[in-house]
Amino acid sequence: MAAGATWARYQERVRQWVSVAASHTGVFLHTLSCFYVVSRYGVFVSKVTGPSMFPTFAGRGDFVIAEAVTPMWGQLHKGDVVICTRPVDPAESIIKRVVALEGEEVVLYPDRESSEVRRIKVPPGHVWIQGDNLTHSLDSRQYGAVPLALVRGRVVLQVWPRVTWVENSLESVKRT
Amino acid sequence: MRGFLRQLVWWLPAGIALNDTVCSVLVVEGQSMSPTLCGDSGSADIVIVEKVSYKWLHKYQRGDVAVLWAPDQPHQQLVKRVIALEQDIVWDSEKNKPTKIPQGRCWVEGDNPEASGDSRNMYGAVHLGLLEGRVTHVIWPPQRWAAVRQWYPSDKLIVEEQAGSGAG
Repeated sequence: MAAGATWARYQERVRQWVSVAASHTGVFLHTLSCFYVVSRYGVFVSKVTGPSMFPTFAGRGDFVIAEAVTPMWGQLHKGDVVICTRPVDPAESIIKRVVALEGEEVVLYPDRESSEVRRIKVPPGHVWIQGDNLTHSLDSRQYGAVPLALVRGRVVLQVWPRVTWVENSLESVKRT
Repeated sequence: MRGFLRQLVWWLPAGIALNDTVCSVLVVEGQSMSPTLCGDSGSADIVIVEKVSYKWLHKYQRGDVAVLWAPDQPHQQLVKRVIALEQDIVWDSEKNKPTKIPQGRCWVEGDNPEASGDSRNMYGAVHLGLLEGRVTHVIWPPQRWAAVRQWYPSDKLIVEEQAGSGAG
């Protein structure tokens, strides 16, 4: 008799524990989903590594804030600093500057790729991106124009090491 | 009614996250993938698209029927079959010569070559990052209910990269 009551109490405890665990899991998954929706469709934080955007970013663990609204629903402009899925490796991301939009012509001067001047027209639905540090950047000059669907965000603010607005214009890039 | 609406709003982010990253349902129209999808008349099929292979695992396989963003229209989705992956060599039937697929891209074609705008005639090799998901099943109309098979016409592939399938 006493054993029966103990068993019933035990069952009740297990039931309570399961329901608490389920509700916590639900809240956890819900929070994760909210984070996902905000970072994919709104704003997200990204870390900049590599020298390709020097001197705009030192590339040693700079943190920036990017917004996903403009690439998805608005219009990118020349000079925008963008974060894209890496064209040569879809598992990685890159940060570069938009130098030309669809329909515009890009002039490539002789470099290690070829010994003549090449003129390339940016195809519809694509952008031409380049790193600010031209000598240390793998970009559209090597792998061609990038489809807009690969552009995930437009960088607006740097938060580490200093808080600064990111200048989204071609003025900040020294043209030689 | 109020309670239902609140529940819906609460679960909306989870629904969006699931739809984007795990699995979704898609209405497919057009004749470019006939007879695999949409039959001869091009009438709409409803399919299941799984996103785990491409978005989490980055595992792309030759013969997959993939949903991808059109390279020239960033808001338009296409459904084509992946014929070849990076470093493979395909026979380009439009230009009549072999083409090596650059790093990070793939070659896609519709199963119905006469009615398909794809890598042969419109886009060339397509970035792997544009691939959204893999079509696994047709679930509507009921008479077309079937799993979507993974196969590819091996006569188009000249040399397969020996290191295996998939990107980086």
